[in-house]
Amino acid sequence: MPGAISLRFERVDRRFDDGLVAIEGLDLTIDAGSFTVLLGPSGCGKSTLLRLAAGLDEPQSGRVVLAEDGVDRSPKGGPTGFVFQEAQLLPWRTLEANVALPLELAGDTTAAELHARVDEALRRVGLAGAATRMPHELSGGMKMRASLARALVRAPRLFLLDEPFGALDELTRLRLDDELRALAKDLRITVLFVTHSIQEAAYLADRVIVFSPRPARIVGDYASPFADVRHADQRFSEPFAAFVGTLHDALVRGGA
Amino acid sequence: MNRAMHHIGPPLVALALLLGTWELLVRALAVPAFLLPPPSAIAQATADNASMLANGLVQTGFTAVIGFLLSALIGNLTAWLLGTFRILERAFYPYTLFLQTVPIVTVAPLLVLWFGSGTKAVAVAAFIVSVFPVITGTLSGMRAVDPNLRDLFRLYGAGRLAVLAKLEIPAALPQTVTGLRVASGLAVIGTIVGEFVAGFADGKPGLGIIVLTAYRQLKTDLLFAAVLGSSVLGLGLFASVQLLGHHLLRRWHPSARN
Ligand SMILES: Nc1ncnc2c1ncn2[C@@H]1O[C@H](COP(=O)(O)OP(=O)(O)OP(=O)(O)O)[C@@H](O)[C@H]1O
Ligand SMILES: [Mg+2]
Repeated sequence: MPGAISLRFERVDRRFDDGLVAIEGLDLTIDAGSFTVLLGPSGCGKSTLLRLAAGLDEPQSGRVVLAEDGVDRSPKGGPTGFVFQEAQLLPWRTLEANVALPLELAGDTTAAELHARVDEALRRVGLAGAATRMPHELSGGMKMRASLARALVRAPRLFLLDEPFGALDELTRLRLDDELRALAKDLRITVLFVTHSIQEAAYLADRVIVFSPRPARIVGDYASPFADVRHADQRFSEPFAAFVGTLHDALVRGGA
Repeated sequence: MNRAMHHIGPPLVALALLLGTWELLVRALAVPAFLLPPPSAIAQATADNASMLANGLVQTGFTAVIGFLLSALIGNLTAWLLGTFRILERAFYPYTLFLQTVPIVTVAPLLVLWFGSGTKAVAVAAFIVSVFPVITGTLSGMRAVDPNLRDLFRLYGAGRLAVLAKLEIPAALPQTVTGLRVASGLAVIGTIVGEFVAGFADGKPGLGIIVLTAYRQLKTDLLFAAVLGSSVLGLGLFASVQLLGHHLLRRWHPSARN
């Protein structure tokens, strides 16, 4: 298995054509194999930051670098999986055909290997029995799982998730949080996870980075009080409540 | 059985009432048959000229289908090209409007010059009249593709051709079907009008020719029969496209699900 990937933002500026500054002078390093949550008020520039990390946009100045086994590379075409806020499945494809899409587009797998990897990805997210269903036949939670499977199928080393579970009910969301974290740790994937839920950030993260309103400045950078393994009981513990309080204060101090 | 009656019962009764009133009024007021023949006369004319009308239906139907298929093929190819290369769209889209606005009767003589009188010229007339909705339908469908899905394809390194084949064409399919539906009706209209100008040839009179001849001979009952035939043709083509669209979209699009 290749090593996990780390990610660096070096004095990154991102402005839009209309002159709006979303990110200014950002310096940030994300460690290989870590689960990092980005927490910030709506419109501060979190999605913008993820798009830079995915190589979907370019910064106006500074640079964004992926480092794999000590070798720097550009984010464009990197071993990256992206999960959007909505599942973004192609409605005319079955689940398995949706999950197969990244492999199809890369065009470097045989039909047999493609099948095996799609099956494996569906199994990982608990959708093995639904492979031939159409997206409109699925619940919101199942669609999101399918979206995860699609992002996983090419064995990404970097996983970018933009408020992926924001539209789901509380219980589904908690379950998916647990599964996602276990999966990322198991596969040793570096994760950048955007949310504006303080609770979700406090539970999921190895590290939480708190942003100010736009242009996004880092106003807090905290390590989780918990060791690697998560279990649901931690949500009701004293350290968890304290951590939530800390994150909340950081958001407020940042001007949210 | 009961359910079928529930659906077709009321329109059948309405039709019978309409035809009955028509028949009675025409007779009571002694309207001259060349102005408005009674339904019974139209039925009689249909029976008397059954084979000519049937041949006309086949001839016009054949031409209309050719024109429609040309529209479907060339219209979609054009939309894919314009949708793929922005520069082509900016350069050529304004001129496709010409197809929408040009009165076909003014172009038909040109078509006769180029293709000679007959099926070929008429099919091209049908094509010109019906291609525009196919182009705009497919093109607007391609334009409406969710930007997030475009990003997804970009992220996975998809080339322009893959985006076209795996994203834009399937995503645009509902609008393509809508365009084809409109085109099917227009193709029949284009064929009849084309026949008025360019249909006198190869000894196979289409419905348009039958309409013209009946009109000149003041055989208004036959004229009615031919008009009826062309609307049956239009409906048939429309229904076929509808069926095909339903089949293509059934598995995923809300418009075809129920
Ligand atoms: N393509 C664009 N052109 C112009 N402005 C943009 C564009 N994309 C985003 N913005 C602006 O940049 C700012 C940051 O947007 P971004 O989507 O990164 O915020 P966010 O932190 O993800 O917010 P949310 O939590 O609501 O998703 C916002 O003010 C937004 O309006
Ligand atoms: Mg966002």
